[in-house]
Amino acid sequence: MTKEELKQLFKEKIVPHQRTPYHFQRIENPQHEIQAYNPFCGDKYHIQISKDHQGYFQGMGCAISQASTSILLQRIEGLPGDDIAEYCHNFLQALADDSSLADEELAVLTALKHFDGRMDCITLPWKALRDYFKES
Amino acid sequence: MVVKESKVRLSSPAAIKQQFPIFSEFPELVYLDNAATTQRPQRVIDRVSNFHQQENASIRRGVYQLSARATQEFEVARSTVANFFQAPQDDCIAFTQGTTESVNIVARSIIGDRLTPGDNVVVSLMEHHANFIPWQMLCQANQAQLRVVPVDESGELNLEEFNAQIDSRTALVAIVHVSNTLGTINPIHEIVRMAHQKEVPVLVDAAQSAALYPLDLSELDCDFLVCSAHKMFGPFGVGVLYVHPRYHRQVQPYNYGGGIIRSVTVENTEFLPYPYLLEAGTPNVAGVIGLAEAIRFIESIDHESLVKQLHELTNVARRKLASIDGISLVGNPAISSSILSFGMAGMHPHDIASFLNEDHIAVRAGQHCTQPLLDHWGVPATVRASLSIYNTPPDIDQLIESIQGIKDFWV
Repeated sequence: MTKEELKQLFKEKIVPHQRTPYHFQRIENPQHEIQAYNPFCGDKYHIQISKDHQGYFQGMGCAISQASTSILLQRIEGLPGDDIAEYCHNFLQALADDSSLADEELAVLTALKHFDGRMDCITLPWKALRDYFKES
Repeated sequence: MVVKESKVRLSSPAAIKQQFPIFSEFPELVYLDNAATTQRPQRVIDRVSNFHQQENASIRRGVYQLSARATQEFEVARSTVANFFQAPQDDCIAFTQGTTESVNIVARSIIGDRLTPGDNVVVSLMEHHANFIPWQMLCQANQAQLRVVPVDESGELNLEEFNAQIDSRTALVAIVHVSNTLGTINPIHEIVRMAHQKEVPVLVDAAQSAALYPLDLSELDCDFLVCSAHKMFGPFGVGVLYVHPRYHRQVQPYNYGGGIIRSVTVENTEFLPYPYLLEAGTPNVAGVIGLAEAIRFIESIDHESLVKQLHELTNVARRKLASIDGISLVGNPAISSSILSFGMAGMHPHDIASFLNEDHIAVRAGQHCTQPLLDHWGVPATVRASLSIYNTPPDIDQLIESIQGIKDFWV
């Protein structure tokens, strides 16, 4: 994939998530509350999981971390905590190993690591949820 | 054949650029992250390399020729740094690992012992974390108060407010000369004068100013000054701590170890005087010698003309950026250096920096280790373009063109 193609993918697949992120709201009485924070760049999201296993988030960050969070919350809908940890672990592993992914949006997320220095933007919410549910 | 060194002082950014091999290696590179680290000229690279190839030895403790020469070069470097800043004595200069360590030394090895409950330390809101957290921690540990002088909308300090924060219980004023986020050049002489009128010592963080606006310490008369080699065309891993002679006897060791002692018995240790008691262990000899070479480089160029051109170029960049719809500059200080912070409506600074990188333009995006300042501004991050003496008008044209392209693509 050329950088030009990657930029185009960015525009088509990532920017829409930045403009209209999934479940970008705060809910009452969540079952789980998780902070995803990168102190080096300031990206910070407050992620909530409701009692019926729906993910919501609020916060500020770059297009990549915001799209990554938006995509992640759609994928883990309905999953119990243990499965969320495993799902996040598997994605992070695929990202590290350069494995190909059938899920088109996840494949775009992994391709974005070819933008220099943006790995932490992609992984921010995935690591936060993996670590939270691994420990709980 | 003997080749005489040219006495003509380089005065054009394009000629300066040729002295820096990274720009031959990457001809397309537009390097605008000089506030993070400057590039290295060939002569600094050669000097460090020659030391490793032909002069390497540990200093002070060897009675052989190589060690004696390395020791001599190390002390020549101390003298070079002292002369560069017009320090009253060579032994006012201690070598550290960087600005951060230099500030921490002043906090823990000089001010720490003097701080009692109810005292205060005065800093500004525009301090880099390296000149903020050490004082915050020290104050917390000693039931002292950290007083933070605010910054106005243009990114400047109000000197009356500053003066009002300094009182008889102020143990130190710690203030940055040039803000690494806003580019503000603070009226450092007036601040030192204000503090000294109340007999309060002043630490000047000169990390961003040492290469472009080196302070004359014989005139400024501040008590402590800190800076880093790598922001003045020298190597990583070397910092400078200047301590005025009036405080030499109050400096305590920072790290305990070899090379800083007069005598050691099972019961007791007597230490060498400042600056030697701070240089425990084997120092970064090659780095220190590289710093001295970087200073010789700075002294060899037409500094005044280059800084003037740099200001003009920065002003052009500021004007052009401000004229792009949707771009907002963070701070607009009347007297500023070559640092610009900005944001673009609807686009996060990290995404802007990533797309600039695609056009070979290196900028910094983030909080620039000034989180309290950006919190005050209500922005989570900025894009920072910081220029140096090798940046040329085409560099800025490219930045502006690229920003415009990103905006068209994105917005």
